[in-house]
Amino acid sequence: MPEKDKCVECAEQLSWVGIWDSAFLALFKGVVGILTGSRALTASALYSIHDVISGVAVLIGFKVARKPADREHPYGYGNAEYIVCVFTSILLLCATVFLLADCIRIFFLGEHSPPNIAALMAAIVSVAANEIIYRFNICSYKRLNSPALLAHAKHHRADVISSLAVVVAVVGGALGYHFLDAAVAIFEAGHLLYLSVELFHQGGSGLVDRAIKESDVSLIRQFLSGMAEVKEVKDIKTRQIGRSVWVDLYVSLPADKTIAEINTISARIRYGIANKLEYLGNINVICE
Amino acid sequence: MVEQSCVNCGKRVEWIVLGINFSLFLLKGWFALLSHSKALLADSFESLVNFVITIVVLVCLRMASNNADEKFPYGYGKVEFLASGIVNMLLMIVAIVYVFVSCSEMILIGPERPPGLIAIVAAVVSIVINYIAFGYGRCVGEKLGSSAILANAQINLTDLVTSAAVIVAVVGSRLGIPRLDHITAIVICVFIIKVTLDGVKKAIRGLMDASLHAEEVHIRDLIENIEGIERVGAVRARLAGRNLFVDVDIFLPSDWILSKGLGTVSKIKNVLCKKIENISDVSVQLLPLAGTDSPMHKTDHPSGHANSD
Repeated sequence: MPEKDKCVECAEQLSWVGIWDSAFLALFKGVVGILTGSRALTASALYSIHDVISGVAVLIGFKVARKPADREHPYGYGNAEYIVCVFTSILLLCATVFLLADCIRIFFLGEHSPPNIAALMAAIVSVAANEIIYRFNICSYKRLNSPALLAHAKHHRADVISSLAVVVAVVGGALGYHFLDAAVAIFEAGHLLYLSVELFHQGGSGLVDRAIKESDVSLIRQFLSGMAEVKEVKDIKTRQIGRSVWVDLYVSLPADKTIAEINTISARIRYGIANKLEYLGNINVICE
Repeated sequence: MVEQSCVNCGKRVEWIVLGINFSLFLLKGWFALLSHSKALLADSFESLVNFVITIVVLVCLRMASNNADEKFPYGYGKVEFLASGIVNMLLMIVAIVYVFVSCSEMILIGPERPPGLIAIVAAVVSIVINYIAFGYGRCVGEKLGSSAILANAQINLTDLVTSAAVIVAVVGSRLGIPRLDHITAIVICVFIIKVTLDGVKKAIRGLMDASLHAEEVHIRDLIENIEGIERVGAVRARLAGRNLFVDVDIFLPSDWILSKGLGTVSKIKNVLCKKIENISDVSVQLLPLAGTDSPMHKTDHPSGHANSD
């Protein structure tokens, strides 16, 4: 199907285009926002930075995590994705807190800077660029049904909305509502706080070896209970290493079987579970 | 035999060093403001760095002792890596900013007046206290054989060196090298950047489950000679904070029955738990010798484990 191949290619390019686009917009809006004193535009720049971070993390998840395990990293490179998430989200969090503090100060002191045409232009550019990327993402999401693409699309939509809010703030400022800029910025910074904490939590709990979804664990349990040789399942420990799932199974098998027979049973267990779970990294079958 | 008094010292030493670092931070910070010495200010920042990192490690040790639960089946040990990585990164950023500020100040403004001699008082106090703390930490560390305590003592030694540098800076800038104070401050900050960068790297290694070569070789040596084991396959060790998790594959004669194999497993566990500190879990996979390879290759995923033989 050439149609679908085109979509796959488009989706691959999109993640790069999306990252460069967001990086450029972040820089552009950040510089204009600081020069014109528009806090709302600066907050909107942070949204673009958030897009860059999540885009880069997903790319790393796909590229680096596929590197096979080696001597230095016997468990593979999956956690690189989480590490990027955690360290960058902390930086984003710091920037947002500074911005929020600044906005609150301005809001209460009433030192509003006058609305600026440059801020308006930057916001309009951002709305247009993000809307285009959003459309492309949604298109390939519909064809390929990939949740990562949907997440990308949502990020760009959020960026569109935040830039639209900047437009409102500047226009409102021109009409005499000077407080609008700081108010929009406070609102956006609040949302950014939520986003960066979410990003941190996602990466952080992955790094502390969070278990996989409970429904997946019960899939494993169900499969094992269907095997006559497995007398008892003592424990199932799972952890996510980036995109791949690592499983330690503690089972008791018939004590009178030979090691060779045990090995065949384990192989069947491995094979069965490998068919049930996506992104399986490794299964240890440990007899107790 | 370790004396009881040394064990007591071991429990106290981290808290004592913590208190010392914080007091030194306050003392040096205050004197730095009084004397306008940039070098002393950087030195006090170093004490703050030591204080904050020790606090993080202590808090995380408390957290890590929480038992594993459904959501985190391997326990919370890795919180230590996560927290120390973040804290080191933030402190590194502060140090980088300080380097930039100092550089621009030194070039654009130049020193307005030489730092006051009072800075030397703080530096001397810092040297004496750090020397005592270092001696105490080394004594406890050596008696208990704890590398963590010894590493902590080393921190006091570096703090001592920076305080000595402050004296040189203050005397030098009063004797006619006016920029020496700034230069020393920058050098101290560059040093802090290096230390915190090492901390970040170490945390990332832990978070990536990087290989622990020394432990793996040691484990292999310990179990190779247990009777019945034909060959030791993959050995993997990973650290979650202070807790060591070990995965071992062993090859047994393929006609052994499982109950005999389980006997070997418990022997392995006994040996490893006795000889290696901090082991929190040993998982042993039993494999038949008959030419089969490590089972890791049988999973149909590209990140299947590379055999370490």
